Amino acid sequence: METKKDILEHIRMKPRTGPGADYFEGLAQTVLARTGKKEAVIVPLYKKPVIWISGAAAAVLVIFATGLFNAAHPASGFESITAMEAAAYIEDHMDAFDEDLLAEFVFEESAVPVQQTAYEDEETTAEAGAEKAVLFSDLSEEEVLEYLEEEQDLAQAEYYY
Amino acid sequence: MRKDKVEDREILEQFDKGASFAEKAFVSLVGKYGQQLYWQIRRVVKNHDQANDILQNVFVKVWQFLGDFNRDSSLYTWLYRIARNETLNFLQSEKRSSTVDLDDEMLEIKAGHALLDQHTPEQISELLMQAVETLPEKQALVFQLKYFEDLPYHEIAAQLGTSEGALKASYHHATGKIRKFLEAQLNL
Repeated sequence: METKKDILEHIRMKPRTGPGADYFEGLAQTVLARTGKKEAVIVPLYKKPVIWISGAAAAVLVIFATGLFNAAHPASGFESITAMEAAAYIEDHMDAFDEDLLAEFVFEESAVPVQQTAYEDEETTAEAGAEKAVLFSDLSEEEVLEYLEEEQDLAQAEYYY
Repeated sequence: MRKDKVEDREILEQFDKGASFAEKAFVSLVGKYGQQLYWQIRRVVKNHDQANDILQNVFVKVWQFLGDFNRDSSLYTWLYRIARNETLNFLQSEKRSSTVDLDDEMLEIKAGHALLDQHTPEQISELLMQAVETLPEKQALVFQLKYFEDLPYHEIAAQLGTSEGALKASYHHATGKIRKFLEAQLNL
């Protein structure tokens, strides 16, 4: 009498007669041809959050570093704020800023008054009295990022890449 | 580096880089798992052309969704699941049951077992695949790799990220359930 253990031992796989090696070797390319591959997506820099956030932060740092803002508003009270504190504030409150204006401010050649872009939060908005505009043609994007890499942790930036 | 030695982790890391890196990673992945997935599908569908269609659909989905793959589970488990679902979808679209039309060249029945001798190889093949479908996914996967693919335990362990001991236990339970299923069906 057959034992229960025997049934699977009576069933065997035959030697396979399947496609040749060339089928499998060409399979990946066949599939990629169907998918149209993963195209490189060209994203304008200003649409990458880390770029214009970094640029806006750099703009504020430059302003504080050069004393431009304090010169226009001697009694503004901002002279006690360090550049790093300003940059940190911008990052923490980025949601409150108009993204389109910030992007435009950072990446267009035409000058835009700093106050209209960086200080739109009601707590920090001062009178837009500083009429002098800041041009960023003197700073390349590489220089901005290099500076920020030295000052800040850009681990978050990697997420977007 | 031989294709079978490419670690899943390396494939995923390369794929994440995108562009040409992703393509190379995808080629490695297809080279590593293409044959196993092909035969997993082929055991269920009728012929090479159908298996090829399904397999290509599987890898199209892999290309589209590999970036979203939850890396808590093993890559091959994920691939197996996609292949299984694509096969079932295909069969449903062809208005067939899930276990018909096995390639009758794939199994041979050794004479001498009273229950098996009363049925054709096609019937037994069909019942066997039905039995596999009743298993939990992990057990079905282990059974496929061990019984049909005849892979050694250490290779299965590497693919599934499971210990050999756990695999042996899983295979033992799977074969027990399949024997019971076959005997119950063949005794009807």
